[in-house]
Amino acid sequence: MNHLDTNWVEHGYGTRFQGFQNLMRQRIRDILIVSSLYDLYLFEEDGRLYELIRNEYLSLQLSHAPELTRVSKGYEAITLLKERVFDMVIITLHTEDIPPVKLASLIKELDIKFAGLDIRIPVVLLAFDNRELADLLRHSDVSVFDKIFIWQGDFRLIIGIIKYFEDKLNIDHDTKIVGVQSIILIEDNIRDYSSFLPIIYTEIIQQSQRLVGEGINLSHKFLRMRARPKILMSQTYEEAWEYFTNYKEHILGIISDIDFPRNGKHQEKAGLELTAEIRKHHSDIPVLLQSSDGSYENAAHLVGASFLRKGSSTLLHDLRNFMKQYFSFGDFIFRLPDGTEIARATDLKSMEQTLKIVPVDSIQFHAERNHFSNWFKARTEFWLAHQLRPKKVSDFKSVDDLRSHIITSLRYYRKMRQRGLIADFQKESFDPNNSFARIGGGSLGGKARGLGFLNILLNNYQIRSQFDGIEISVPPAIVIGTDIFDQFLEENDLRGFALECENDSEIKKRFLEASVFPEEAVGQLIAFLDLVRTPLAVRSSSLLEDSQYHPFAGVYSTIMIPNNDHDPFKRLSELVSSIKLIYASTFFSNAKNYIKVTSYRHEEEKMAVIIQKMVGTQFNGRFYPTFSGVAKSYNFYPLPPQKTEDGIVSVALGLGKMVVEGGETVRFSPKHPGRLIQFHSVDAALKSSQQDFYALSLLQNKDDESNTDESGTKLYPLDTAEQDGTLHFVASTYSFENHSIYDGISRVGARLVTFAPILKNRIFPLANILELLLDMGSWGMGAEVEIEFAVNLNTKRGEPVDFGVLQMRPIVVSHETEKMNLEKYENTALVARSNEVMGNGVINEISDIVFIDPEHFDRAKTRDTATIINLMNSKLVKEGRPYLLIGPGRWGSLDQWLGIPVVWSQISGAKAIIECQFKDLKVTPSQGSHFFQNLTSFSVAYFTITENDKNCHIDYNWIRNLPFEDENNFVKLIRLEKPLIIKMNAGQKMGIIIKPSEEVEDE
Amino acid sequence: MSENKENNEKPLEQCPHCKAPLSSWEQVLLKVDRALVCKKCWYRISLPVITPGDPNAKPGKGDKK
Repeated sequence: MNHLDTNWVEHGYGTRFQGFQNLMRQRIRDILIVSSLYDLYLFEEDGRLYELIRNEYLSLQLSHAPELTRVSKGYEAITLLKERVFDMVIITLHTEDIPPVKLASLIKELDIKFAGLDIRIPVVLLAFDNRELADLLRHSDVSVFDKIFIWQGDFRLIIGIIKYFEDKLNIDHDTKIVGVQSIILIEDNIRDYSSFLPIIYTEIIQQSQRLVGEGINLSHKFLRMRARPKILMSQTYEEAWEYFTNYKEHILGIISDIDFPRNGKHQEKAGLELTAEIRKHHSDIPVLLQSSDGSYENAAHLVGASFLRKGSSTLLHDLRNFMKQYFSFGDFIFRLPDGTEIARATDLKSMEQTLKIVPVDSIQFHAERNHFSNWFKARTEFWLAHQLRPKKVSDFKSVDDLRSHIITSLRYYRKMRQRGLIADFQKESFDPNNSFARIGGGSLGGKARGLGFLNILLNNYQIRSQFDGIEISVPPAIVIGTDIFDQFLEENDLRGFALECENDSEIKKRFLEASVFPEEAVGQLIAFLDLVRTPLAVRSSSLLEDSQYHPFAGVYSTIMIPNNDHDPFKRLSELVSSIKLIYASTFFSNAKNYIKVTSYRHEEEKMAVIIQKMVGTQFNGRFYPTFSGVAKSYNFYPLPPQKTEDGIVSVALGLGKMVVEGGETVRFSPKHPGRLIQFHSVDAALKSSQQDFYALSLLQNKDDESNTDESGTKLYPLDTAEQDGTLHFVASTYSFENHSIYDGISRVGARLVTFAPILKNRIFPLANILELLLDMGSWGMGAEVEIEFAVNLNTKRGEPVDFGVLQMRPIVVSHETEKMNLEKYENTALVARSNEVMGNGVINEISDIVFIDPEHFDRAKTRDTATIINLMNSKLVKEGRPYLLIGPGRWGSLDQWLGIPVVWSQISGAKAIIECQFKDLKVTPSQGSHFFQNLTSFSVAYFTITENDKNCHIDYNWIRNLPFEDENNFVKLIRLEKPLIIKMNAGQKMGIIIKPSEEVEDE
Repeated sequence: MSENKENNEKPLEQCPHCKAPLSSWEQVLLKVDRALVCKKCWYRISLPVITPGDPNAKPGKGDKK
């Protein structure tokens, strides 16, 4: 595939269909009919012409049925044409005041231009009676009409007339943009072309409709209709030849009379001569010659044309059959050279499958006659046709080589056109390795929208294969739209209950027991599970999720399922239960608490669900990627030489749960990957490196329904990763003898996850990829971004490394640097001071403090403490009182030994947080966690107090001496009479918390 | 059949005007969009647009500031 071809695919020939959007720009929308009432009566039959046309447009799925306006007098027509815009005028033979030829001349004199183009609107004569028309032609100069037609009872003629003129207006543009095909019709007999035209158009439009089924989504389907072949009607040899020479690369076929004018005179054999001339340039264009003289049949065959006798009673039927067979409308019929039919292909997928099995004789037979490229062209698959047409059978070493070339092109094309689009899920077209499709209407939710956008960026900018041997992609997924969520709630009458109920277990139970799941979705899920048999992540994607200021990070559930049972019903049941649980999580107290501190109402929230193939490899009953991580384009805590704009990445062996829930990770700047500040000393490395990792357990007891509410993950020791062959990519070894750490695991000793092989020895370009993705994300979103990813290095030999981008969302960064003099305050006036502060500006609305005294705190009881904090938080949120939270250790860590393991919703009412140290351990905030994401999004002031740092201060005595309103275990609620004042300077990362009544006026 | 592999166009690694290095994302943008404004000197770098009918387009020059 060369660059030129890729461009064609990009810009109109395939994937994104931009070219298709610009097709058929010139349309006939308003038609003026000038006819006597009686003509109109004949014309309308039962007086419903407009309805008939409108219905026909609808049934053919053509957009914009034209408006028809009828007047009976020429004078009225002239007046109306001066007042209103019309795109075409149809005049019948009987006008009340002005004869039709005279009227046409008067209209031409008005010089009315077509929709801003420099051409006049067409004026058409529509006759009803052959004899009357013949009379008119004999006695008048009818050249003033752009075309004359005769009505023979088929109201579709009107559609034929409209389409004929539209095609004339659009042919140049559409052929140039995407190579739209054309059929040349040469016929000088008004009666004949008046009957052929509606038949040919109907056949073409029905062919387009057959293809619509292969459209990727609704808009693609409609766009595809615009690429239908056009008809170029001519009445003379010269006119036809001009069409042929102008568009010869895009001619689908020719339907021609034999006897028509050449050089201004009737030429009995003009059709034969024209065919012979065309054959010199194109030996394989299908030509159908017609004549009322049957003796021309042999001559027609001699020039390689088919023949139909005009007088035949089956002419129109035969014409339709010819188009189906020779213009490749309908199925592709594989034949042997003797004409025996051996197989049929109905669409691209079945074409690919059939090509694999048909004998070489058949492939050679069709290839030599360009049948494949013709079939693709007729299906508006111009890019595929272009791939094959310039090639001859002799260009390939063997017919089998040709066979694999076509199959590869088909596969590549099917894959390409799915990329970057969210297609409607169809089992036939869904590619389990690439596609991103939807089931059901409604919204996709915030997370899926972000993924869809990411998918577009990765594909449009060809990032997927930017790095050799690495495939960067959004893992294939289907998204269940929010309509299914609504339907599920309605049909099971769950909405009212779920909004009211405060017991998560009860909600979970009722949702799992709900017996009705929308049938449409179940059918699609069965089809999906038939295609995908590897582990799946079932992820929430609510309407409000991933917005910049309310990310809902970690609020809703993600469930991972092994999807490996031999019984398909069990797999389906497991998947449906997971979806129900995600739905239930919309109403859990976590979510309710979270929404309370936003400006939204819970009933506005809706849930879409992403079902995504997991990135990873299966090892002995577990499944996990080599490593996962979160990358941010902005580093809130840069340590030299890092800069804030360099970004920061947290990575961990195994599933990303370790990172997003605040476990031990490796943190590095993509600009300085080799500098791992956290491992500045051997002791630091030993203390702060990952000890175990998460994987999806494939050996869950599937009969036990109670297991399904778990995320499905399990912690494993590093030894397991070493046995699985994943540890060596990310680990170093500690040598006890000389108290040193060595990169890799070739030595004997304790293993440490340092990512040194990747970050220092560059066995994988992780930093380069992330630098590119972060730049891309920030550019695309116009904001700083956070990206979650998972990488599988343990792919099969010869297969690319799998780099899955799992999520991208904007993050809030406050850049204002209000000048504040924070130095003027004495420590005695302050509750706290720190030079490790996140946040900016002034907060002066906090009068409540939730205080966990590090002095008396017992680290063995962190979980109980989290529960108590949750209760106090609920109370304060309910009262609408923001508070200052002061406590030891890392907030938001899942590791109870590093800090109090609260999730965001348990402290959602905190407007400011002081993280002070344990007496015996220093921990740093994890920037990769969901907790951190919420912290920044809600602009919570976050102070880190480091013991013995002269820039840090906290007045524990003042706090301890305050009267408390409530005390539960180690947690005190203090209520002040006057508010605290918090001042922060984001630029300097400095901040102070001023005691009430200690504010110093600025000079 | 990988879509990029045979695209032999060498990416521009620095601004032709001020010689500031282009980030890998800027190189991608330039390659696909065929135009980019240098963040450092505001020079508009443009590459020839490759259209289906013009496979042998010659390298373009940057526009003036």
